[in-house]
Amino acid sequence: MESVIYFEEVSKVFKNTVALREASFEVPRGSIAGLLGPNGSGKTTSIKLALGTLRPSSGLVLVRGMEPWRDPDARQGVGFLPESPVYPRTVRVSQLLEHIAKLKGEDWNGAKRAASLVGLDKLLDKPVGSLSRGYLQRLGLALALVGEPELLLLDEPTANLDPNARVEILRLISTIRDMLDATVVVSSHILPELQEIVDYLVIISSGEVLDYGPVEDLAKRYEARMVYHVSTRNPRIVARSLITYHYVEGVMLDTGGLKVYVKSTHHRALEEVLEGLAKDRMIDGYSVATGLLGEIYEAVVSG
Amino acid sequence: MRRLSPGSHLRGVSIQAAYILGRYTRHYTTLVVLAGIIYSVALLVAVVPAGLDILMGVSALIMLGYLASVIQIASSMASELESGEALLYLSTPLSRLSYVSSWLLASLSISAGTFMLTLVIPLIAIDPGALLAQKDLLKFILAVIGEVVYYTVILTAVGIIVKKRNLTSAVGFFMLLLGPMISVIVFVILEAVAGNVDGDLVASVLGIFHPLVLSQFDPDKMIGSIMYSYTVSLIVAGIIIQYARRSLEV
Ligand SMILES: Nc1ncnc2c1ncn2[C@@H]1O[C@H](COP(=O)(O)OP(=O)(O)O)[C@@H](O)[C@H]1O
Ligand SMILES: [Mg+2]
Repeated sequence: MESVIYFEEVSKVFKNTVALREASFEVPRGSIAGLLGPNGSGKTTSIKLALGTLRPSSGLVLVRGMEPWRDPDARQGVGFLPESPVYPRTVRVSQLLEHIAKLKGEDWNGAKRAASLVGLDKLLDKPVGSLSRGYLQRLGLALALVGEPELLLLDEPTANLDPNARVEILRLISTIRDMLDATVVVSSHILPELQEIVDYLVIISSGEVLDYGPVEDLAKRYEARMVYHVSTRNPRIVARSLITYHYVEGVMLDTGGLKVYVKSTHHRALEEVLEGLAKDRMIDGYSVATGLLGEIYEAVVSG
Repeated sequence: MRRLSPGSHLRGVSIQAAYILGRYTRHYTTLVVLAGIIYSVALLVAVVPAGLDILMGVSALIMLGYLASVIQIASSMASELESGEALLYLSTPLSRLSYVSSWLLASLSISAGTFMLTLVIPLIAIDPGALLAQKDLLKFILAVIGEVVYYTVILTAVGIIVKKRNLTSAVGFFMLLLGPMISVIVFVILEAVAGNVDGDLVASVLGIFHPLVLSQFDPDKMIGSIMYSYTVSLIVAGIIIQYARRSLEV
């Protein structure tokens, strides 16, 4: 698959800190990638290198095949939400949106589309400084979305938000990505909230990329549990039969069926059992929900 | 840096400069109109003998006003880089060089606009003959533009390199006010101690901060100080371009 972001042995050194050390990874087109790591691990640095506002100290950064530090065109079609955005407070929401739209080669209609995508329509005439945190984050998303980017770089989009706003922003990100069909990179140090939205991971710690790849592959490689979604009209009976297998680590009732937790080493065995159940019409179908991010992360970090 | 088509550079510069101007002109309009009125009054009283001094004084104050606005704009740019607001604009296809150029363009446009509104238009309206009667008119205009460009370029360079609002305006006000004062104080002290000091030396030091003032005091130094302000401006502009292309991280 073609990579939208490609890092080859990229290092970034600030005066006396090595923020990134020979990092190599790629993000395939169409994925929603979680960039995971604790505070200070180099997530923001990686995103800014991809954006081309930081210069790599060594190594090669390619975004859509271009070097973003050298070539501002690499940012055409890239939307960015900073970790702690700073906006001009006295400018009206519409003015700021229109200005960023112009810089991206779009017009007012492009700005308006982005505003309505995030539900900012009614606040266009307000000064930016009067928006609440949650709405400022929507403005940030709208600014990132202007021009219908093919790559979205979102740096800790839920940080500093209250739980409600957090859920809303996450939901918005999923919706947006389905609508735009964009590649999305979301950085976070909070794993559970990404569980539902990412399908690809880049795991970073102390400036080093420890591993990367599709969530499923990583779950298998690190023997993290995987979660299967089983749709059935007889959840209790199915659950009772599944729980007898030693590799099934848990079964939970879920809307329309069950969630089944399984050791990733045994996912084939489970799939065979599920296929048998499907043949007997006990279940209507199943799908891999995902590997558990927390477990993958633990396994990767502990080597 | 890969070469962009000059068109896309110019487009980015003009969009960003228009945005900056849109945000700042409102603050300046009142001041400029006021300065224009005061200057017009000074022009009217200039017919009486003492009025000429008043006119000179008012012109000098207005000139200081331009330079203060140059300082204000350069420190706004530094503040944008300091706070992280610049990231908002530099995360679009706008290049770093276009971003810095747009600040230079906005600053020079404001200076040019205020120059026309406060000095040139009142003069033309009230006493057009005076403008033409001024001998060495061309040199005088070149010296005025030279001084404004000198301040603009130097303070923009300071702003993008230090990225601190307060430090940038401190440097600006040092050049504007303290620099000349200190050179005069040093002159007075040296005279008291050593008796006889080379006046040219002090004039040259003064000229570092205010090439325009020097050229007005000493007509012999006019060409020299004009050359000085433009040469330094060109060199510093070169530094700005190199810095923007190679080192301006946000
Ligand atoms: N502009 C900078 N100057 C100096 N050090 C920096 C700068 N930006 C980041 N760092 C350092 O680089 C490391 C990685 O930072 P960052 O990429 O912001 O981490 P994260 O986003 O994962 O929290 C940290 O140790 C941080 O202090
Ligand atoms: Mg960060």
